[in-house]
Amino acid sequence: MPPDCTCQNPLVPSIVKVVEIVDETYDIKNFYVATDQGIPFEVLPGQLCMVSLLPVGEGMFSVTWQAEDHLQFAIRRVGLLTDALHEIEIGQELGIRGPYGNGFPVRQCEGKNMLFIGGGIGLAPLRSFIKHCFRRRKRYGQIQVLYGARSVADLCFKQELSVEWPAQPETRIFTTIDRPEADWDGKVAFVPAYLEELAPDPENTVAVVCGPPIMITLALKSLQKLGFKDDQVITTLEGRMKCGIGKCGRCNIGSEYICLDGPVFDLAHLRHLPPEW
Amino acid sequence: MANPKVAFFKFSSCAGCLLSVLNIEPVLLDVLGVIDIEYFIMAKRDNHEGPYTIGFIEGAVTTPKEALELKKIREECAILVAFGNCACTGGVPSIKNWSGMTQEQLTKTVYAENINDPMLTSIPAKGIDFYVKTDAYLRGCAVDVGEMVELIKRALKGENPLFRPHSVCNECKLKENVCLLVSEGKPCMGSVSAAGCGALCPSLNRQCEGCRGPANDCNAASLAKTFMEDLGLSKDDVVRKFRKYAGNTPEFSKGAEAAL
Amino acid sequence: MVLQGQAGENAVVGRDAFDEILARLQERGYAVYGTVNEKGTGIFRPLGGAGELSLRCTGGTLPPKYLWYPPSETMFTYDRQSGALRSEIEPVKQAVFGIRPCDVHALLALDEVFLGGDYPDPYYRARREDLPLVVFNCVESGDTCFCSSMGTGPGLDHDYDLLITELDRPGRFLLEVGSGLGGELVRDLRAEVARDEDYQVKHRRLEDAAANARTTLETEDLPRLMSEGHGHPYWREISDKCFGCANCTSVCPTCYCADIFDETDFSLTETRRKRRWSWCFLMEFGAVHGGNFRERRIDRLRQFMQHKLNFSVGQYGRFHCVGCGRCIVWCPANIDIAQTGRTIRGDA
Repeated sequence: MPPDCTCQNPLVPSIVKVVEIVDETYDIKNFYVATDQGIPFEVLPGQLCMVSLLPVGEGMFSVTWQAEDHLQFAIRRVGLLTDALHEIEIGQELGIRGPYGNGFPVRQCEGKNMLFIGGGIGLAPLRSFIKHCFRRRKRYGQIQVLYGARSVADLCFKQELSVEWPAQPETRIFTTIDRPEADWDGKVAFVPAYLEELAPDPENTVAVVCGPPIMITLALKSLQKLGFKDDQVITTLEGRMKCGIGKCGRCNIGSEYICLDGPVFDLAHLRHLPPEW
Repeated sequence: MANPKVAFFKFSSCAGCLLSVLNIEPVLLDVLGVIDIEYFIMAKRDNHEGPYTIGFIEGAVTTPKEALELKKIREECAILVAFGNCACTGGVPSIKNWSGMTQEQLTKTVYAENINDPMLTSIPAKGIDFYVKTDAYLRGCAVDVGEMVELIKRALKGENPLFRPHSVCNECKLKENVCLLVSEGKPCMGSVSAAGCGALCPSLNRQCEGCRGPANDCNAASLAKTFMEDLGLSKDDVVRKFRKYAGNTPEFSKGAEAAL
Repeated sequence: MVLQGQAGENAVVGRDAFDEILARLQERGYAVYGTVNEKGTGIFRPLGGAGELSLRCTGGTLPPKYLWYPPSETMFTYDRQSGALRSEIEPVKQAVFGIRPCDVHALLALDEVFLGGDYPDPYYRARREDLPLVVFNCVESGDTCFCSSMGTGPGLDHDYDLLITELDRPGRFLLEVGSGLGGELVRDLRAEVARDEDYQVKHRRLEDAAANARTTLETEDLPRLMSEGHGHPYWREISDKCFGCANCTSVCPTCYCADIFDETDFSLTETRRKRRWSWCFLMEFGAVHGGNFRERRIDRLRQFMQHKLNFSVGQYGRFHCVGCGRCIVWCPANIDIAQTGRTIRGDA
């Protein structure tokens, strides 16, 4: 394993190559990156990296999975940098800095039932935790994944959602879309409403939530209604990050930096942050 | 790959911004090397029809004919840039919008009483984004050519230029200028005006007049109050200050209204 | 007597000593900066000779911060053709002659931000490692200084190479040597022995400066009270006045928020990644995809003050407001951070 290349100058990226690009949806691509020796550094589920496409710019992306020999980033096309990323080809060199952030509490959740609630591209960071649980299946209890997107075309990781994950022991996958569609005979509902309908048992369960801000807000309210305590609910926050190392102040909320103290926070902690969040 | 085609157009304005383009001698050759100026009546005899990659528009729209021409130009330009304060916000020509006269009265006042020319149909002066989608804004009266060069460089790469609309105060502080408002009680508008000019006027001991329009989310109404209560400016003076360059903008409108 | 030039040595010197100290710094290759009296206020700039130094100025406009944290810098260059990333960080030799205790505390706060934690910043380190400081204790309080409230002055007793306190008779200064380098700067200089009376004068002058502070802020339990006062109506009152000009954050010696972006030259072959000062006052600072979590001016003004008086304590264990008073002087809307602190905690 190559040493952590960022220790000398944490603001200069090291170089990786794109070894595979998988089209997940019309605006989400999963980029597999690696160095000649494999992964550039170890990444815990939930951690982030700053990815540079020079000369366009740099952005913060969560690692959706660390495989044997490459890292995966699921990136949605939303602006200047991501537009440019969507145009690149296999073989393109990218800059990478990381890993940053606290990651999910994978150890503390062992022995618990896991309830993953995701919306849209929010499934990408959750996926690193979900696949981690499947890797060490016996260490976790029941696993439920509730995932929703605007439409069928917006559902990402379809293969895993419909085939691989449901095949895992004691695992239930619930997928929903917002509005009815001709070829879809699955559930049609918004994620928070579906969540309340399913009414999962909070007993010994940890809920991990990620998605658009409005979905998170409503899902957190629903979880509270269902009896989940604040320390049973964790989420991962997004902020506009520039340095990733707690120096530029951009991701500062209250006494925290999302890049250093987060991005994963439990609800009990979130309640102490200033209300504008 | 061919160089991008660039065009310069003019509506109601003083032509000062276009003239500034001719003043970029230090980098003129660099710029000419990477773009083809296809249409620039002030500078060339040999001008060509569109389509163009980048169109720079100087001037406010003050007649229906200009509005129609503008729409045609929008279709011909991949990137449309409001070039200078008149095109960004209506600028100095927009002062007439608050004259209290009808457009007809205005025409008769400015031109001869008995003029009856359909070309001189005056409508309220607005910036170009009132009529067409505008891709970028080069503020200032006149523009800062450094910003124009930066915009061209970025446009060549298909990117947005990173202009930050913070206040002139930040630029004054970086130059360690004496604050004209706080130290000398001069009615400087820098605290609510968009930077990018390098605090040109305050650096020369002249209060900022807000020729680049409002800084982001500024509180012009509060400054208007300060002008009247602390500096003793009359209501009329304050109104004139906020309507001189960018009275059309919501922020400076609030500034003027705070004095009325 | 003649100074030996050792850490811990004290003596009384006249103003002529400053010339010699400055000259020695320059001989050793340091660019020396200090505060001069210009444009009716204190301007911090490179010094030619010690005669330019102002002893009166407190605060001023731009703080010395730009020496260790420049308004704009290139972090690395990227050559598009070869794909090479090059980052050249040269150590910088600068010295400050006449830095005030509040600004030293601000420097220490930035040390924690940039050099603490898991990712020390090499650009900051290059400017910070070799930075001689000749500190002037403040024997007079400025109109808006509240260093005594924040525990950052008017005197300093650590982190200096040389410490200078003006005594009663003009032209007499108590000199305290704080380091080996400080010693070298004064070795063999003629001086008077520092007597007990001189120390008493020093302490008296510092105590008077603290007692005469015209601005105060009680800091006991302040972070908790500021958190509880997050919804206090005073925030609305001051944000309604606030122009949104960000003068406060421009002159603050502890503000470190930055913008990082890529810039390419005309030939489109070389890209530079740059860092430049930014301000949490900018709308775009709180922008995320699909929203902005500090869209309103009240949120941004509150973020600035809460960070200085509250959040920084949770993050770094110290107030980032050092009581220098610059933001109070330069706010064109007459908003006062100390007044805000007092109001929120109910002292007003």
